[in-house]
Amino acid sequence: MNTGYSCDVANNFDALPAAMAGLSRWLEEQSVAPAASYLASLALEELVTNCIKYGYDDTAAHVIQIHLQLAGGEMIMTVEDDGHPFNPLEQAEPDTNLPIEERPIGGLGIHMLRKMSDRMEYVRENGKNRVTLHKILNP
Amino acid sequence: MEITTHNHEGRQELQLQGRLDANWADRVGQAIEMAIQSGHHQVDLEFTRVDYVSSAGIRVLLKYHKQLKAVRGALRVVRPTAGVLEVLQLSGIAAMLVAKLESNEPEKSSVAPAAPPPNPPRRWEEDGLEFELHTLGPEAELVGHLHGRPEAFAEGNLSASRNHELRCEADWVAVGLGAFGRTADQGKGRYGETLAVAGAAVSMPTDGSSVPDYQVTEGRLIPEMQMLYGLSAQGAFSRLIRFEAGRSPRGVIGLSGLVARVFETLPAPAAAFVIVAETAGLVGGTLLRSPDQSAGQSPLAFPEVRDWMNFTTERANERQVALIVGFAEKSPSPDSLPFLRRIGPGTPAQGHFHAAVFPYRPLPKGRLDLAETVPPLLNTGTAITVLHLLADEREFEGVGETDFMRGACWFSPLRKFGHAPQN
Repeated sequence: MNTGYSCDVANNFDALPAAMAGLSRWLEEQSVAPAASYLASLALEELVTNCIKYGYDDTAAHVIQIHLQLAGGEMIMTVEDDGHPFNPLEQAEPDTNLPIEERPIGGLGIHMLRKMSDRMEYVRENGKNRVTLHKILNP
Repeated sequence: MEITTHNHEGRQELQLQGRLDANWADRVGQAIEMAIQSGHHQVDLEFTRVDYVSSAGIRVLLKYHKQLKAVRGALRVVRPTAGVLEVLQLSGIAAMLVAKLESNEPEKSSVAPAAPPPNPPRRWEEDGLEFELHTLGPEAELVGHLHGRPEAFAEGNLSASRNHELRCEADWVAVGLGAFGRTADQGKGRYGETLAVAGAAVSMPTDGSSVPDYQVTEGRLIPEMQMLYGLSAQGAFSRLIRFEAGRSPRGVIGLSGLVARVFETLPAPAAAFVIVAETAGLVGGTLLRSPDQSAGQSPLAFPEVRDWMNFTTERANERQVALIVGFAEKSPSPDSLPFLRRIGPGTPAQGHFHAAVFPYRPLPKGRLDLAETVPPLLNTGTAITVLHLLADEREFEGVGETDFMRGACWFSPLRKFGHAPQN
C-alpha cells in the first residue's frame, strides 16, 4: 500500500471544518486504523489552529500545506507553514500531574501529538516550518 | 455534533454525538452553561458517540469542571470510547472527569457528600416555588441605625458637612448614599448608591466613572465610608432561606414575594436582608450626580431628575448575579418612614434595598456562609453597577419589580430603628 493525500488550508478558522471533513473522509476510505486516524485529525486541528493564532503578524492570506502518506506500514504526515519559526518540540511539556486548578491552559495539543505519535520531527527550511509525524499502522 | 438533554436521577445528562473539536467546543460549552444556569450542578456528558476530542474540547471540559467544582457540583464524562479515553488520560484529566461506572449503573456522585448540617433545613414548596430554610442562630438579631435625613435629598440640601462615617466591619450591613473615604472631603462630588456587607463595600461613584468602586477587608484594613444618608445595622443573621423558582409557573420570584415569605417565617416588625441571587431582571435607579453638589436644587424635580437619576426603563441585568443589602419594616415609624419605599405588589411592608450587579456565576446549593460568599464575589468579578431597587407599579407603562431565578437570602429581625448619633 502506498497512497497519499494532500490539501491546502487557508489561515483562517472558517477553512478548518472543511479541511477536517475532507481528511476524515479520506482516512475512512483508506480504512486507516483508529489510532492513526485520530492522530491525523488531531495534528491537522492542533497545528493549523496554532498557526492561525500565533503564526502570522500580517493580515495577508497564507496557505498551510498538509500531506499524508501511507507507506511501509507507517503513516507519515507533514504540516508545513510559512509563519514565524516555531519548533513545537521545544515547547515545555505541561505538567499533567499538577492539580487541575494550577495547571496552565496551553501546550496541551502539542503534548497530545507527541504522546500519540511514534515520532515527531521539526525542520525550518526555506522560510517554512515543517512538522512531521510518524505513526506505525499495525503495531 | 448533536446534543440532547435528559434529566437522570437529579443529574442533568447531555448526550453528545459527533466530534468535540474547535468547531463544536463553544456549542458544547453553551449547552453545559445552559444546564448550570437552569440550576443543575451535577452534569454528566454521555460520550458513547463522541469519537474525537481535541485540546479545544478539553479546555471546555476543564472550564466547566472547575466552575462546577467551585459550587460543590461535578462535571463527569460518562462512557467515553477507547480513543477518547486515551486522549483524556494523556491530558491528565481522565481520573477527575471520567465517571467510574459498574454494570452500567451510575455511581453516586464522585464528590464526597458535604457533612450533614447541624440543623437539617426545613423544605417546602409553594406555588411551584421551592424553599429551604436554614436556622443559623435562632436568637441572632441586628440593631438598626438611621443616618441623616433623606428629605434633605429631595430638598437639594444634602451636605457633605453633615455626613456620617461608617466603618464596614464584618458584622455590619448598610445601604445609602456614600463614598469611600476617611473624611467628608474625600467623598465630595462622588456620593452615590452604596452598600456594605461582610466587611466589604461597593459604591457607584457619581464623578463620571462608569464602574463601581469596591473594597474588601484585608487584615486590619477595613473599608471606611462617608454616608450622606442611609441605613445600617450591626449583628448576626439568624436564618438563611434558599429559593428556587426554576420549576414555578412564572419561573421567577419577585423581591416583594421573597420579603413576604421572610416575614411569614419571622415574627418581627422589621428585618435586615442580604440576598445573593441569579437575576431575572432588576428594576431600580442609579444616582448620576453627587447630591452634595445640588446647591438647593431638588434632584427629584422634573425635568432635572433626568440628569440626576438613571431609572431602568425595562427590566435590566437579566441572568447576572446580584448582591443585595436591604431593610424592610411592616409599619414604619415616623423616624424610619422617610428612608423606606414600597417594595412591590407581594408585600405591604416598605423597604430600602440596594443591589450590586456582577457577571453571572452559579451559586453553591444548600447552606452557605455569608462571610465566605460575599468577598469572593467582589474579588473575582468586577461589579457592573449599583442600583437602588425601586418597584415601578404604574398601571400600564410600569416595568414591575426586581425578579430572581434562585438564590440565597440571609435575614434577621431588626431591633430598634433609631437615629444614629451624628459624627
